[in-house]
Parts: sequence; structure tokens; C-alpha cells
Amino acid sequence: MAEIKIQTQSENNIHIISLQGQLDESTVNEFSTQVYAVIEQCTENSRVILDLEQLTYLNSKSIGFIADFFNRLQSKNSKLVLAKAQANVVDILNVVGIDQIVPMTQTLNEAKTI
Amino acid sequence: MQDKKTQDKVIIRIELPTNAYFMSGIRDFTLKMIENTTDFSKQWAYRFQSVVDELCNNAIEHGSNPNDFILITFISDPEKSIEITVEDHGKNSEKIANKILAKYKSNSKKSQLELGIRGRGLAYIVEKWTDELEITDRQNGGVKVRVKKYLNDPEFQTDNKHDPTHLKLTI
Repeated sequence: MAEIKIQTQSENNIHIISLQGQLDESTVNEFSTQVYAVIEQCTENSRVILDLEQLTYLNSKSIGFIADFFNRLQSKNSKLVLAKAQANVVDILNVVGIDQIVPMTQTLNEAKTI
Repeated sequence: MQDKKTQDKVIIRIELPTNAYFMSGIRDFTLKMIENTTDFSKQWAYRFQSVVDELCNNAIEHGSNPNDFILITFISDPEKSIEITVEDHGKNSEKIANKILAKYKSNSKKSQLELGIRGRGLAYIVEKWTDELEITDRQNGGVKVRVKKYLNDPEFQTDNKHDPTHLKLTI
């Protein structure tokens, strides 16, 4: 069975959510529940960064949730950034086209300032 | 696993219970099978891992009742192509292949913000990472989805012009 570990750090309106493992049909709901909980707490001008360095797989439903996170944060004048994705994960994000709407960075520092 | 470079066509059939619990094992198998028995690059092995995952998830969620199973068939023609079919038994006897086809074609025209949580698997990942995609009703109920990717056919060469993502990875 796939596993996903999710850790959240929050400081000064910047919320970094680190993912370790795989996002598939068996783990995606746990992921979405935790990210929606963070978004719920966001005030205006917040920033949610998904740190994907330790994520080895994600499916299309996970990308659907990422698009929804983006919409919800935008309605709060806040931002979603995807950081440090591995090459095969970048490939999936690109083929779906999510990189056209959600900024992607190679480092967490970039993600905090972009 | 047998070393690569056999010239013979290899056919592998797997019956999978309709439970997402088993999908990580099928993804691992797909990755290793393509890496070890075909000349496709590692990037394409990862891509086919996604294609198989999306097809199986659709079959489990939309085409199966609880405690049923789906059938996955891999046909590897080592220097020519990889072909994968995923078959389900359907939730009832309704013929739905044309509905699925229409839905995925409609989804492929929508923007990211118009799509909901669902709708990207067939329309983006499967369609863009395969050369042939065929959806048909099975005679006794359910749907069969067949995809094929050619390795060296000039029409389907993966270069910057033809690669849908225009992305060459160093993995």
C-alpha cells in the first residue's frame, strides 16, 4: 500500500506542507483533508508551499486537488507554490498543464519569495 | 525478472481486486517491467506507470462493483511497442464506452480551472502519453481500454517536436 507522510510548518503567514511518499487513490484524501485544514486557517496574503522533494508519485486526482487549492487560496488573495518536485513528478504536472497556473520552484527560498 | 533484450513478444496478464490498496504494487511492477524488458527510457517507464494507474483507477471506480476484479494485460514487443489493456466488468449491463469517450474529449478541451477534481487522467495523462487509445464495450458487460506506445515508429518519435510535454528528464 502507498504511504504518505505530511508535515506542516507555519510561520508568518507562510505554511510549508512537506510530503513524503506517494499520492494515489489510497492516500489522496488524507492529503486533501490536511491541506484544506491549512487553507481554512489562512488569512489574506498567506502563502502555502507544497514541498514535493520527498514525493515520488502523484496521480491526476491529486493534481485536481492542487488546482482546487489554488482557486481557494486565490479567493483569499493568497498564493500556492509547488517546490522541489522530482523530475518524474514535474513531468506529470507539466503534461496535465498545472504548471501553467501554479508556480513551481526548485528551492524553498524561491517559493517563499516568488 | 528476466534480463531485457529478449526479442520475443511478452504477454503478462494480471487479475487485480478492485481495491486501491494494491495499486502501488502494480505501479512498481509496471516501472520495472518496462525498464527491464523494453528499450523505452526510464522517463517513459515512469510515464507508463501513470498511464496504468489512471486506467486502473477509472476501471475500479467507475466500472466495478465491490469485491470484483479488473484484468490488466501488458503486451511488450521489446523493440517495437508496449501495449496495455485494462478491462472491467461494469456496474451493470449498460454500454458506456461512447459516454466515456465523449466525456474525455470534452474534458480535454477544458482549462485547468474549468475542470473539477476529476477529469485529467484520460484526457491529459493517458491521451498525451500514448499513440493509440481505444475504448470499447465488452460483450458481456464492462469496458476495455487499450493503449499502445510505439518505440521507434518515426511517426511517434519522442523529440521536442512530438513530446507533449517538451520535457527531457535526467532521471
